[in-house]
Amino acid sequence: MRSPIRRVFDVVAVFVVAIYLAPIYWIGLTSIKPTTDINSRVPVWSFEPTMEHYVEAFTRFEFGKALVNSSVIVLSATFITMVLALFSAYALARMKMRGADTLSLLILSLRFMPGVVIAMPYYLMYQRIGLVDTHIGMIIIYVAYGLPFAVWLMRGFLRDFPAELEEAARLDGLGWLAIIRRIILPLSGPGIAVTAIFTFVFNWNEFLFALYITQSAAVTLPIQISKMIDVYTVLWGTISGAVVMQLVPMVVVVFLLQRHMIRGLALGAVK
Amino acid sequence: MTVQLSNLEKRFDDGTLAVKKVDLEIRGGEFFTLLGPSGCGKTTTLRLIAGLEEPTGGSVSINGRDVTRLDPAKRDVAMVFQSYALYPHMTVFDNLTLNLRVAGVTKGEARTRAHETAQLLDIERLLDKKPRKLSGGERQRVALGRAIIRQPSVFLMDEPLSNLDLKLREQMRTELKRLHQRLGITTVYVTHDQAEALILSDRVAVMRAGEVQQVSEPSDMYENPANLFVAEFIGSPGINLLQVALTPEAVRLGPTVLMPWKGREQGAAVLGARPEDVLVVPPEQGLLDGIVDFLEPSGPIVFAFIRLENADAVPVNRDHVVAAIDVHRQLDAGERVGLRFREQRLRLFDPESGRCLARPEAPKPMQEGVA
Ligand SMILES: Nc1ncnc2c1ncn2[C@@H]1O[C@H](COP(=O)(O)OP(=O)(O)OP(=O)(O)O)[C@@H](O)[C@H]1O
Ligand SMILES: [Mg+2]
Repeated sequence: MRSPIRRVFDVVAVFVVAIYLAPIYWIGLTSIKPTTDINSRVPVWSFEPTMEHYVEAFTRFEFGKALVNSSVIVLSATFITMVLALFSAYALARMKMRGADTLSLLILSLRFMPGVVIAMPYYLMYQRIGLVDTHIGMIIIYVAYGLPFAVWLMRGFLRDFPAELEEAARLDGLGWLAIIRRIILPLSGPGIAVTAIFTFVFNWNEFLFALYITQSAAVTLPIQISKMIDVYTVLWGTISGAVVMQLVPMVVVVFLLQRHMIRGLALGAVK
Repeated sequence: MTVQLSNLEKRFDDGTLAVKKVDLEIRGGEFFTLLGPSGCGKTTTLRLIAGLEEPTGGSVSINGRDVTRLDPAKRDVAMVFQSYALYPHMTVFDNLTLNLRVAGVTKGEARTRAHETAQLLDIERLLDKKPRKLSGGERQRVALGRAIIRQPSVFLMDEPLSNLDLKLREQMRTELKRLHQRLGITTVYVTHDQAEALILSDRVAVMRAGEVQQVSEPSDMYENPANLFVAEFIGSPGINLLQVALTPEAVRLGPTVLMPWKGREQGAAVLGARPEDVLVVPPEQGLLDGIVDFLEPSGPIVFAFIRLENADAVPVNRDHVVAAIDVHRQLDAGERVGLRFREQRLRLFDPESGRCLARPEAPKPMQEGVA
C-alpha cells in the first residue's frame, strides 16, 4: 500500500512532467496540422494529418543541408571536445601538481564569459583568415567554448576513479596512455556519457555563434529554423516540423548514452 | 631477491611524516611482515618499495640495485592490494594475463601460464567470469594469481586477508604459507593482525608512528620485546603490566618481593608477564592475592581475569591480571586465588622510555634488532 504522502508526490511528478511535455506535444501536433487549422482561433483537436510542413521545410528552406551541417559540425566538435577533455581532465585529476584545483576553476571560469562578448571578435578574426561560414570555423568555436565545462565535468568523474586500479595497471606494466585506453576509458561510461550529452546538446542547440559566423554554406539547424520567421509571417507549421526534426536526434543521443550511464554505474562493484 | 631500505623517509605534501628513517634488510626468499597499528605507515612503506610513492629521503634497493627513482613497472615487483583492484571489465583470464601480454609474452604461453596459476589457486573454473560475479575469497585468489603469474622478484601484499571472514582468512593464511614455501619468492606482507604476522612470517618488523620498533623472528618478538609498545602489541590477550619498584636486591611490588634483581637500574619500573607465565596457586601459596572475576574459555586453555586484592598492585594496562590456565583445571568465578610468576620469563621495562631493561642474570642479550 502506498502512503498518502507518496501519492501526493506521484501526482506532483505527473504534473511536472506534463508541464514539460505539453509544449512538445503541441509542437508535434502543430507539425502535422493543416495550416488553416493551425491558424484557427479555437484550438482544433481533430484534423486531417498532413506532411506538408515537413516537405516545405526540406524544399523551401534547405532543411536537409542544415541537418547535414549541424550533424557534421556538432558530431565533430563533440568528439574532439571529448578526446581533449579526457586527456586534460586526467592530467588535472591525477598529476600531483600544486594549484591543480585553482587551475581547474580558472578553466571553468572561461565558460562564465558571455558568448556574445567573444562572438564578434571571432567574426572579425575569421573574416581575415577565411573561416567565416565554414564547418571548420564552427567546430573550432564549439570545441573552444565547450572544452572548459567538459574538462571540469570529466575531472570530477576521474577523481572518483579508484586509484588502486590505475596503480595495479602501472605495476602490470601499462604506460599512462595504455592505462587511459584499457582501464579508464572502458570503466568511465557514466562520466563520458554525461559529458558527451552536455556537450552534444549544447552544440546542437547553439544559436549565437552560428548566427554570427554562418550564412549559408555552414548554416546550422537553429539558424535555419529562425529563417522561417520573416517580417510578414511566422510559418508555425514549418517551424514545428523543423523543431520536431531537430529534437529527434537529440532525444536519440540522450537515450543511447543514458543506457551507458546506468551500465557504467556498476563500477561501484570494484570492491 | 633482497630488498633493502636505507634511511627511508616519506613526508606527504600536507606535512604528514608517514615513514621516518626506516632501515630494513629483507633477505632473499624471506616472508617478511610489517606489523603495526592503523596509521603507522605500513602501507606507505610498501608503496615506497613498489614505487607508487616517491620517498622524500633515503633509498630502496632490490637485489642490490638502487631502484629509488625507477618506475614501478621496472622494479619487477607484484602487489596484492587490500581492495584487490581487479579490473572489473575484464575476465579473470584477462586479469591474470594482462601483465604477461604487456610484457610481450605470446598468447599461447600466456594461456598455459594462466592455467597453471589457476590450477595452483584452484580457480580454473572462474577463468571466464568477471570479478563482479566472484565471492570475496575467489577475488582474493585471483588477485594473488595476478601477482604470482608474473614470477616477480618480490611480492608485496597489503592486508590481503582483511576483507575475508574469519574462517576464510584462516584458510587463506595457510594457503599463503604453502604458496610461499612452494614458490620461495621474497614477500613483504603488511598487516595489523599480530596473530597473522606471527603465524606467517620468517621475520616481523613492528612499526609505530612511522618508525620501526623491532625486527625479530616471531618467537623472539614474543619472548623478547624490545620495548613496552612491542610487548603490548604482540600477544592476545596482551601481556600483563604491573607497576613495580627496583631496589638494590629485589623487584618489589609494594612490600612484596617478586624476584631478585641485580641490574643497575633503580626506582620505578614496569613488569611484564605473559598470561601463560602467571601461575594460579592456592591463596596461601601466592605472592599476590586475587579474586577470579570471570573466565574466557579459548579451546584448550581458559583465560582467567583476576582482580588483584593487594593495595599496592596497580595493573598498568587494564583492571585485571590475565592468567592462562588449562581447560581441565577447576576454577570458578568469585574464587579467591594466589598468584606467582615464572621468574625467568618476566620482563622489566623503563616506565619513561618503555625500553626493555637488560637482566644481568639472563643468559643472552635480548635487544637484538632494536631500531
Ligand atoms: N596520500 C597521503 N597524503 C597525506 N597523508 C597520508 C597519505 N597517505 C597516508 N597518509 C598518512 O600517513 C600515515 C600512514 O599511513 P599508512 O596508510 O601508511 O598507514 P597504515 O599503517 O597502512 O595504516 P592502516 O593499517 O590503517 O592501513 C597516516 O597518518 C596517514 O594519514
Ligand atoms: Mg594500510
